[in-house]
Amino acid sequence: MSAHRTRTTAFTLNGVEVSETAPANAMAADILRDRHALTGLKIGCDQAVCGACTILVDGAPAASCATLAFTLDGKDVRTIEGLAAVGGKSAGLADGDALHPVQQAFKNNSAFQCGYCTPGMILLAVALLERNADPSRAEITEWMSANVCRCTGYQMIVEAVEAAASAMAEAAA
Amino acid sequence: MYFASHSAIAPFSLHEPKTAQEAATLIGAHPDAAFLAGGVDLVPQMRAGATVSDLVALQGVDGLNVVAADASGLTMGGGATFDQLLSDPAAAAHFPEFMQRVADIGNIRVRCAATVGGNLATRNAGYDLLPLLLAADASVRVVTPGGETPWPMPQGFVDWAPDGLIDRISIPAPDRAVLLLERRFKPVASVAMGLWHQAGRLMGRMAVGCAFDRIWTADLPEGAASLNDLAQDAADVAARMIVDLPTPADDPIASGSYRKRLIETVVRRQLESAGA
Repeated sequence: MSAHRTRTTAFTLNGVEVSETAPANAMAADILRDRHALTGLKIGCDQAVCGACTILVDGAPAASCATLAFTLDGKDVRTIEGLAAVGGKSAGLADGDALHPVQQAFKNNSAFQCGYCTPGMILLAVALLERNADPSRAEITEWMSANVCRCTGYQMIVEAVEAAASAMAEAAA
Repeated sequence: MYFASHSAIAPFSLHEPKTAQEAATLIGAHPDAAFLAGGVDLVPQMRAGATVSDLVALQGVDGLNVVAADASGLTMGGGATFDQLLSDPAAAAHFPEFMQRVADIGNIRVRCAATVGGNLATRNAGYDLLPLLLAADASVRVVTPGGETPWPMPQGFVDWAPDGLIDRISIPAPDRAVLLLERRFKPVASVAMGLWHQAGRLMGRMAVGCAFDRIWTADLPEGAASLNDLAQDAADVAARMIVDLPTPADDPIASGSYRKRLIETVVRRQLESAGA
């Protein structure tokens, strides 16, 4: 059992295999923002509370500001930058650059103001709808309570998630 | 490389054991070592300056995230996340009350990262899982450098200091069990109440969190034959269950004596609702 201070971590990032050698104490947020320029991932509270830095790891929302990068080894990681193309494909659209239905719903419902929390909010909603395609309003509210928005209030965000669920159900029908 | 975004964790030596025994041996060999499970507590502490010379990452430990449930009991690996536990259909079928209480813990990001064993290892009396497990008559197995040992759940003030790795947490499935948890915020106190039948007798245990720096437990006094009897005598039984409870410290929200009365009230309500 040998100890090490650097670690090579291989994972799938927005559908692409990547390998990073970094100090063992590097955070996922730093690797993704500084080495991959994925600056849609925002650092908010920097204490794993606000959810602005949310990424999806194997489909589960994670606070990248408090996730050690080496723990991503072997995982499928998605950031907001990878969502549109994935959304286009999953929705069966011809244009791979089409917005993901959740992104489109946030846009249509004006579910953001300053936009700082929006990438995290959208990824959180995507994780919900991938797990539960038809959530109730109570389920949406409970799930989305993991992230904080200080501009809009939450009404339009909840409505956007409901609209996205409807749009995705229609696309799948 | 320059990482621009925020405060960094001090360098540490990373260990990635494959077995619980290896992990326990590593933690015993390095005085300033720490286990990394979900990291929900540990990583922010490290970023705030906590010294960890050696980090023993548990993500690769075989079998540590097991969840198994049937009519006889529920077993959780110490590395099982709350979300893994909540996603287990057998656990949901056989332990619906426990699962409902667990579902109220944290938010989805926390539940996807936080582990059952990690939650216990924090020894944080403000967390809800330990009171729940105590009230559910749980037992714990700890792996030490010397082997596997059962970790008894003591009565009274519960001060956890597992000298090793928490690798299994088990809950029995007694007859007609009831498990309740109520958390009050002004002032802060939480009470978990477990009631069950065993060999024809009504048994029970309460566990109080958030009010002290450790969990406080008390068993149900003997005498009640049924949940209905218990509900009718709830005020008297509640008074007897908290008779040895020390008075919590005063805080800016409430006096300690008020908080103690609040706890007694919560216990009474739980006993009443159990019999309803």
